[in-house]
Amino acid sequence: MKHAVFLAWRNLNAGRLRSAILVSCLTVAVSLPIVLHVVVGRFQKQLTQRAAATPLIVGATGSRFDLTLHALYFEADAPSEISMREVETIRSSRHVRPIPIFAKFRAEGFRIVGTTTEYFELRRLKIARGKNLTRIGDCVLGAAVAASLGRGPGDRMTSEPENVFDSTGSYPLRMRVNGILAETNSPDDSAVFVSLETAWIIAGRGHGHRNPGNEAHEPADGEQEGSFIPVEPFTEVTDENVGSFHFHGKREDLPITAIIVDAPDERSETLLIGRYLARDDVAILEPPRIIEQLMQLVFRVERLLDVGAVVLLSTTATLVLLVFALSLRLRQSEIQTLFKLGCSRFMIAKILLAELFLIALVSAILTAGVTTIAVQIGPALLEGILTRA
Amino acid sequence: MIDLRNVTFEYPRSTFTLSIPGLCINPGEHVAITGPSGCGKTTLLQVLAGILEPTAGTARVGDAELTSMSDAQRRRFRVTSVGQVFQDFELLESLRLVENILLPFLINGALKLDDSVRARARSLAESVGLGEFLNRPVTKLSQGERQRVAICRAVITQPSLILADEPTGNLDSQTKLTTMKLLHEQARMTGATLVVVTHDHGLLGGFDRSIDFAEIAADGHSKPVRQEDAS
Repeated sequence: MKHAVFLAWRNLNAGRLRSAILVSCLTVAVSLPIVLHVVVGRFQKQLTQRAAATPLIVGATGSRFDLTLHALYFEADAPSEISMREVETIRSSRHVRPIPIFAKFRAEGFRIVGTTTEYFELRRLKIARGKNLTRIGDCVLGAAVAASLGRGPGDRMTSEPENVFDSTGSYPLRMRVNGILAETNSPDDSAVFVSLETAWIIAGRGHGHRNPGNEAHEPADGEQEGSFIPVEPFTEVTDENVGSFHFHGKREDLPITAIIVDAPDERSETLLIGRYLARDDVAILEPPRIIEQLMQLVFRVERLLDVGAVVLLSTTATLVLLVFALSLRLRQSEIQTLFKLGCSRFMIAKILLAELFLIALVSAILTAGVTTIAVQIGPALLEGILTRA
Repeated sequence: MIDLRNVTFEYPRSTFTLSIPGLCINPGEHVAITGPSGCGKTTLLQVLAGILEPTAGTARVGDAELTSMSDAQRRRFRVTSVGQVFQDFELLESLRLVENILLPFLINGALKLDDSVRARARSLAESVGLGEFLNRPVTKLSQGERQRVAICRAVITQPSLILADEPTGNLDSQTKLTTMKLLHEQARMTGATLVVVTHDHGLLGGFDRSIDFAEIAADGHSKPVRQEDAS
């Protein structure tokens, strides 16, 4: 058999282009449906697991998918803001625990999530290195953020300006990295967690005052004395100036983008849902149901792709058979030579079968590789596509 | 010894009939067969190689009675006892030079491919001046080099009978002489019987005798042609 495989390999090697096309076609045709099923399966598992751990979400009325994906993954564009007043309203319901989220800004490409320590309890987030948030201006990095940026406790992270032409003075905030979270294989790994107060400072809703004694600036000709405000590229909360930071207006008027409601039982959930039924400015959502609806959309697309994959597979199988049939005709003289030299028909069949086997084997190896890679990056890719759509 | 008596062969759906009343070739003899195109020379070689089964008559090659053999037995006979050289070389272009020489061992389970066979292949290639090109694809060889590879492939199994069907048909005059000389040398080295079909009367000098195919077939009777008759 080894000689048949050797001769088959030599023949495939001699027709490299033909072999490569056959292998590529087979790999794509076989791996596409496999990857699709595995990726969708994993994506569904990830989505439903996180949704199941998030009983209720409250946010501004709008796209229910956007709000759910924002509250669960922090990825969709931030929905319209609601005020902290809603948190207090929910807190007045018995037994439920509202966890506000203000996730509107980014730091070096990663989403800044302003929240309270209750969020860490809900998601069972543990500090792997350093400490949790201790004062405003601190941040705690998800494991993937720390790994990607190579940051650790004591380093600094700078928020991205919302608008470089922002003349109202909300400068990028330079934050102190206080701790790194243990890896959870969830969207929390890719988030930069800060306190709500820190997030509001980034939003320009709070600020500190510098010590006037430090501003030794001589007005230039033409400048009005006392009207000059030196421009700094960013602000930073330090142990020295932390006391000067404050917020204008009432706390309940400050913005958030979503509230995760941790309800201990179904009855509490139902009561809270009932309270929001009459509201048209604020929506309350059950993430498992929304994710199920989202998955129905994904499954519809998957079914469509399945049909495409079947057509592709059939076409490829036909192509392979056609190529082999044509190849057999073209190789008639070669087969005749083998026969004249004493080769049996069985051996000739073995050589041809070995060619098919080798093409199938290489395709299978490539399919396994493609599937492994796709399974690693697929769910994140799919999640990215869906949340950015 | 090759001994054909009243051998006929008919191709299905064809009016052509090969008819050999009698033909004898002695062991180790070098015989050239000449004759016009289409008279059945190639068919005769294929009968001698056991590729075609005669319709009637008896065909004996050495100890093998070809007419009473099954397909599998004739194939085994072909593998073990016959070396063949074709006009257009019929090398496998997907294989390298040395692999083409070793081809009979690669396609027949009955032949064991071991180090001694590989050494013989290398030695044969060296003896015909191709020792440096063992791993060269045959597509990169000249016509003369290809025919030398084909000759090496024919003798690698050390057959008792070498059949060559117009082996110089595609070669220039100088290469023709070299190739034919090589074929004679290789056959003499192993003591094999050499039967060569050729149109080129200029090459007949190296043979023990030549047979005009038209004569042996036209006679219509058993007519053993022996070396002593020719001389």
